[in-house]
Amino acid sequence: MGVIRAQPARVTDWAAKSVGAAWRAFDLQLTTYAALLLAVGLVMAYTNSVEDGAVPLEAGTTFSRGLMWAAIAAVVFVLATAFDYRWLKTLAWPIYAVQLGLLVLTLLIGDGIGGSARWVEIGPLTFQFSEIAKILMIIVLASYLSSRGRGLDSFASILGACLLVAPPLALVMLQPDLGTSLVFGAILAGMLWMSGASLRWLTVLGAGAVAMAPTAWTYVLLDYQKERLSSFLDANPDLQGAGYQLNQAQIAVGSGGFIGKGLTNGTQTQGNFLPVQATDFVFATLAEELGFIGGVVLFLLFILLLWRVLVAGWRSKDAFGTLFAAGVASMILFQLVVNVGMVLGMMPITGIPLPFVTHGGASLVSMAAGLGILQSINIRQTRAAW
Amino acid sequence: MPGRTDSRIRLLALLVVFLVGSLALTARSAYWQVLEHDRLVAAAADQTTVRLETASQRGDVYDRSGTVILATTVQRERLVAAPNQLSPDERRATVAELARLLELDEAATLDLREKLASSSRYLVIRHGLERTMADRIRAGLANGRLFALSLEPEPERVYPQGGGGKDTTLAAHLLGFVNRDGVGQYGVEQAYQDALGGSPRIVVADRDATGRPVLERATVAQPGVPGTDLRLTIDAGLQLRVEQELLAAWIADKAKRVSAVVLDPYSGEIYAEATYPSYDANDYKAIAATDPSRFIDPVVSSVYEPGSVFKMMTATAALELRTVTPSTRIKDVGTLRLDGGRTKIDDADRKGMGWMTFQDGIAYSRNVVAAKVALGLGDSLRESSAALYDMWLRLGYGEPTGIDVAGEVRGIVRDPGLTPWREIDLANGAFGQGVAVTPIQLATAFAALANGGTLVEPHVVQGVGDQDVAVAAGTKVVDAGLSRTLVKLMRHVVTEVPFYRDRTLVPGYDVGGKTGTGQIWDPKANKGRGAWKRNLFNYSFVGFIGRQTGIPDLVVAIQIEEGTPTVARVGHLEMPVMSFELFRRIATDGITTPDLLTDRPTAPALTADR
Repeated sequence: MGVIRAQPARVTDWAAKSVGAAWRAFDLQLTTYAALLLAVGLVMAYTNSVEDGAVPLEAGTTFSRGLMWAAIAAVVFVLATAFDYRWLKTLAWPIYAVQLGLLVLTLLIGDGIGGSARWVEIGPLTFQFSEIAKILMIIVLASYLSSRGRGLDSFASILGACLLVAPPLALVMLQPDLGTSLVFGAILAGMLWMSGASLRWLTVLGAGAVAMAPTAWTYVLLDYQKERLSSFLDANPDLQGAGYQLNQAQIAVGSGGFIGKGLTNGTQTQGNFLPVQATDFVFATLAEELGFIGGVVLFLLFILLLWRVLVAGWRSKDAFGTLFAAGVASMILFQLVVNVGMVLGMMPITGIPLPFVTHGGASLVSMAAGLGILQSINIRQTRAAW
Repeated sequence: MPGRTDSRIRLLALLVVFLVGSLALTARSAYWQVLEHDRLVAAAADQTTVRLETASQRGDVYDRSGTVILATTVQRERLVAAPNQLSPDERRATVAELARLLELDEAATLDLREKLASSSRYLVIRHGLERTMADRIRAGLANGRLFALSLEPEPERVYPQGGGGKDTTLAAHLLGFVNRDGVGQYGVEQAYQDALGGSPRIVVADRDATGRPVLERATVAQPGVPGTDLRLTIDAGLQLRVEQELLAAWIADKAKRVSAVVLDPYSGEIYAEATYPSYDANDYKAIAATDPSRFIDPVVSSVYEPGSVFKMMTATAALELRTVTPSTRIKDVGTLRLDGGRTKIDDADRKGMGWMTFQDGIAYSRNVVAAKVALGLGDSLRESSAALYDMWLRLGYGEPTGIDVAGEVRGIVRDPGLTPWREIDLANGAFGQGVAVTPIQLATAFAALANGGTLVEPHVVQGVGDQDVAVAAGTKVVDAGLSRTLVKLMRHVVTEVPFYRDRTLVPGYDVGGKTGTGQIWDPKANKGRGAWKRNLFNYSFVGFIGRQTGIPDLVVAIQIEEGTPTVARVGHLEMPVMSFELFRRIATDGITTPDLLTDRPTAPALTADR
């Protein structure tokens, strides 16, 4: 019933509202913070390109590819904003099918380091579909949970949500990509929390997850994943082996000091002592070159962004909007804490990108889509006003 | 919607989680970037810069004349390959050409091919290439027959003088050698490492992304100081003759080891010092692989029970305390029971010679006489022990002599003040058992007995660069009159006993000394309980030779370790070259060495008092 009614309503809204009204509902703050974070990411891409000895604007450098992806992300953001998010509810099941399809495709034709399958090459671009799968997962979950309505308090709803998450999570684990599968878990937790699921059942679920952990350690985790986890817990890690990167990150961050060494002046991250300084360890470059101040500004931008994301959810008149915002916020927060925590030695090493900042097309496009949908939610909540 | 009733609280809870997460990250950043900043900056500097040390030219070592080079450094080159840069064709060509140039056999060629098939970026193919070979390789690189090779300068220590035996270099033990890192090992090379090595040139450079130094932007942290030349007290000619004598004795006596040291008793300058078997310092790596203990210089680093040469220490103590005079008559009983009959000592032949003068007792090396004299040094066993021990210490036993080579040991003397000696301990000590000393300690102590009573510091380096080494003033340990008496006593030893007389005296020169035949304790024998080795002894002779009567010019200490006697019956041992014969040969070599001895018209130390 609701689906059928949604169609005329959308047409009416879109037609009746002036562009000016839509613009007023558009959250400029949200876009600004996201744009600033993206700018930080581009600056990091620039500095890493310079340090690699390349001319930053030449084709193929981290920076020029970053610019290209920023442009693509902007287009995706605008399209997602213009698109009526209520369609997503209708399209939830096809979206779920696409999500699973992308992950299966990754397993079949994907490339990666050491026999893993994470990236799919599309022409000159490499694309990590699991990043897209995260935002699709949020859409599917928001759609499912919002449709449960009153039934949310039941264990069946929670179990249903878990069952929805299980197949993509398993497919990502098979790549194998422990980090991204953990993000799926975080999204699920955040959305269940904001959906109002009863604390009792959430507790049962959490306890179950903890109880599963030893089994997962033995049967699910691969040796290198265990090594990373145990080296994180080891007080005196093997500096040549798994502890190397942690130690290098520590030196890079620590030597940056309070105000940093200045852009392109990072000796540790630039000297390639720290591998993957442009991607998962980009925060090390930032902390070395922009110092403690730079790090704090970054955290501040993230907090402001998360605040605006939650505000968008709060303003939403339907459960879908609220839940979608909760999912996006959980994803961003989890990735921020795990990624930066990893660089700072508080978290084990997992391949989780820092949203907006990490160089990587799929992650950025996926974030742009998420924020675009949030803006779409924002500008379509004026119904209550008239 | 019921599901959203509590969402305001849940939203706040979510925000709290955000804040806590961010604060944790901020706190952690602050910890590393502010509190741990200095330590991590230092760690970063370690990684991003590299210190490059280039060794300075090492100083040469000359003999006392300043004309004979004992050790020098030549510039050789090291052939280095970068196999990772080789294409298969280039590798084939390089292997073939190198095998031809370096005259490699089949196995070595195969080995080279394997090495070059690796993906290494830096591989040393050959050390110590001489100029002509290096030039041929350079030509090969220039005309495209060799690939991915480079030559790096490499200093190599060379010992140009051949030693007294086959495959030895002159004074190898004394000089030591220099290892691949340019650090002196053993002997003078180790003891004078700082002077010889100078200080390296140190350059600090940034590392590039691949970790290699960026030399264009390097700064010189320390310009480096070239090494200083040394001039030794060794006379190269005498050293060679001594080594030849040792080789001959080593062969004739089927000995384990033969050592000698020739020393100026007044200055402590060592004119020659050698041991056979020796080694070739130019090929030290071969010895290092098979028998590294060969590097140890026994003259300064090995202790042994000296035996009867130590009777001179007993005589010195007794004559100083005037408990005996050279002509005091003492009864030699052959076997002396001690400690209330629980222990005994024997003369070598276990026969008593009856009443004899003290000086004859020393000459005929009667253990019983020495033991009786030692027991009579004081009024009690304790006092006697203390008197003998005190004399040992004064003559330098139990302490390094201070000789300027590496690895000198102090020997083993037991302090009766800590654990009181029994009578057997004192008696044994009287003839040099139960005490362990080095040949250099014996030579130094005898020098003091012979030179008027001054304990000098033996040394082998006369000059460092242009600077003469200041000779430490010796310590007066016995008075000149006593020294004169001891010289007479040593002369009496070699003139009184026919057995010695014929094979020790050098016609036209004043000679004296004391023999020693020490038993050798083998701790592994007798199922680990230890036993004296049968028919294997350490033969010693320490004596002097002088051009004028009463004025010794040289002190010579001889040690024949584990010589094999041709005749061995109780009290009588014969070898083809007895220790005193070896002494005679070396003393003759020494005293006839041209331009070695300074004029000693009057020896002030000998005439000053009394």
